[in-house]
Amino acid sequence: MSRTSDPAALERLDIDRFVDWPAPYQYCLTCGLCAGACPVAGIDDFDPRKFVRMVSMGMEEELVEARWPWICTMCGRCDSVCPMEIGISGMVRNIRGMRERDKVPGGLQKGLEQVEKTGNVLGLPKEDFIFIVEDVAEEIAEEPGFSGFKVPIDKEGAFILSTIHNKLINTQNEDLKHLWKIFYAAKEDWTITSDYWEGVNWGLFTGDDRAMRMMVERIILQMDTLKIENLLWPE
Amino acid sequence: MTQNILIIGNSPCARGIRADLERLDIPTILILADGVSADGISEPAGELSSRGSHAVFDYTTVEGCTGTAGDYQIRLRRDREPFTRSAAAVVIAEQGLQVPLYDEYGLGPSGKVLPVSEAAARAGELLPDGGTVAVFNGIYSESQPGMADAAMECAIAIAENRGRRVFFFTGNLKVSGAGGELLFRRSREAGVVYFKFTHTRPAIRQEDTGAVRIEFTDEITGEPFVLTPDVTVVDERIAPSPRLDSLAQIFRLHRDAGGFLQTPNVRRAPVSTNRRGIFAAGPARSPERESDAPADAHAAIGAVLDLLHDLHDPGGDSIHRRGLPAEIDQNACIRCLTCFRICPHGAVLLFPDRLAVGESGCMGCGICAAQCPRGAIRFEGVRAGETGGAAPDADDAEKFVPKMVIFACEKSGRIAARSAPSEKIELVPVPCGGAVSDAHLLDALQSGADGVLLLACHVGNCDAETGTRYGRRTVERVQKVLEKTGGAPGRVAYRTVAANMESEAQSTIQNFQQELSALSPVSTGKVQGESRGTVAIEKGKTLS
Repeated sequence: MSRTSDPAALERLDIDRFVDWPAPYQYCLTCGLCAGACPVAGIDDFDPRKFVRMVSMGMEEELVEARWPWICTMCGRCDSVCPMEIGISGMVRNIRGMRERDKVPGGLQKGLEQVEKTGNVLGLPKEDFIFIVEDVAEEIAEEPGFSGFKVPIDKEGAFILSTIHNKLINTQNEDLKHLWKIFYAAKEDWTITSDYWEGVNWGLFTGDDRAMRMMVERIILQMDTLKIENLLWPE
Repeated sequence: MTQNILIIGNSPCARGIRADLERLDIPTILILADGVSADGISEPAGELSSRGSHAVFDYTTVEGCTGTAGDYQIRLRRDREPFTRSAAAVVIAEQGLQVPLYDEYGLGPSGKVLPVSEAAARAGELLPDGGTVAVFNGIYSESQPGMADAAMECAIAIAENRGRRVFFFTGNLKVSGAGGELLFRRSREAGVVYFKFTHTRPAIRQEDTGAVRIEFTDEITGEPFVLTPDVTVVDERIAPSPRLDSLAQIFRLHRDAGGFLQTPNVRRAPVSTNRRGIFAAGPARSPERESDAPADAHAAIGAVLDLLHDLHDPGGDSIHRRGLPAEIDQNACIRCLTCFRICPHGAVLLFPDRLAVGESGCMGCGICAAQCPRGAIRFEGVRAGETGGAAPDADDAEKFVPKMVIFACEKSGRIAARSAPSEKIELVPVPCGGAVSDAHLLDALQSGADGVLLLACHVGNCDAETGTRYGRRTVERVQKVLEKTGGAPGRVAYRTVAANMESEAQSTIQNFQQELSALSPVSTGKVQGESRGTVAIEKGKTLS
């Protein structure tokens, strides 16, 4: 990220622009441990140290427009090595959240819009969802030791409510089985819901607090309605 | 014998030393070149005063010093009135100066450009609210920790005021001392923005109006910036007090490259100088920060107590091991002043009619004895033993293994070579590489050694500072003599090691022995009598 235009007048930088953020970026020692730990450092000249530096200089426009914040995988290695405990990945998320929503790269924003409309990223109708999970349950019941296995859907008063990653419904049905088999073997009192079963929350990645809140509130609504106190959120 | 400790200087460190000695009931004499500062001394200002055994002389200069550790006579002058005081020890702790580094940044003083100390004093009214300030610290040369502190404190004082922007341009920010990291942190909290220059330098230009324009690239982001600050604060350097010039001369003290009264000698206690009983503390010995003054004051107290203890009980359990003192034979001495000039500890005293070694100031290095052209200095510190009886018979031996004498400095070579094989090698410990004379080297050859090695300290590691250099010169001189007289100069060699370089010392010895194997054995026309007599070398050729 380099500007070819004239040098910027330092006086005009809004250095206190992000001063309200809880991340103590002003204590950055520019030691570079974050840059050394980052798995994507070097791509498009990105590195977390530069990112923190630009935040500390209040360079909002440059950061929001850059591709950098979207190269970050948000793995958090920088956070774990930072001697000043700055919380860099959280700052990356904040910057992502400042971009206009129609400029969020990839299918992330489309997926979120689908969730808002249909309850899951796939836009899968409820009947199809029930058909798929019951089909998988039948397969489990045919395996030795799992006779009579059934997947409890919308069971009121269950001990645990479990959400589901949409990928397991879409293409990787086999992977649904592992957790469910454990529930069966442990004689667990569990359930899934036919609405708002989606466990994937892409608002985390796009910095969209509103979308995250919406999905979390939907899950809480399910728990309240079905009188369930414990949530297992495998994603 | 006096117990007085003479303290010179008006620094916080000097005042701390005086206060501590007073508490310990050790009499002090405080010499101030100027007046008594308000925060320092309880005596009335401007007057020669004495309370009990603690005296203060203000507006007083030091004019001379004779004597030796435990018994120095210091000539002083106050109001044109000369007087003398005795002291067991002297502690110099003159306050340093802060010198602005305008030239380093290509700037000149103006209403908009001023040094750190001035900007800090006027931080409140320096510029309008919301203005911008550039602070320069250690970009072109390494800053001193004390000045990095001062620059950060100045930046905080300015930034804490009403929305001002402070940009701090630095190279290697010195935060490793006590409280340095905390100052940096506080400055960041106050909103000071740092730019660190490692590979690049800012372009700094001053207009005729005095205004400054700074163009640079932020090295982390690669972003180019320009700044025209309302005020520019220029770095300063802590320089030694100008009074140290005459004090160094009067007390015959070595100075470091910056002019402070202590050379970087690894073997010395924190406040020690090259002279026993003359100490340099605080801003007289290094450009350290003011917050380090108490530590230096404590070190000075420790050194003074240690000295008083030693003087009281010379044979006692001193932690500072000294060798046997040298002694000048007045009948042989021709007053050439060589010893007076070269003694690294200033222990040779000059009297109207003679020279003498001040025993309490002598550190026993033996350099004077080795270098005296008349052999007029008695020194018992080097005791070479017999190098063995009969010469090896080259015809009989299967293989010629050379006999060696190794003169090894007790502080380095002797320790490093402790596991050298004793067969065919005689290890002679010496108090200093400089204690070895031409005669020692030639005597060893004369008594049948095939080669002589001087194993001394690295330059910079020498306790006596110049000793290892004198050792090298002595070896080179003898090499020349051998060459001129038809001998093999390779029979004597000078090598340096540190005490912990055992394997290096081993291979040094082995290599030297191998080089000697290439030469034939020395024949043994052992000559009795004078140490500078004839020595038989190289198959009967003689040198006289």
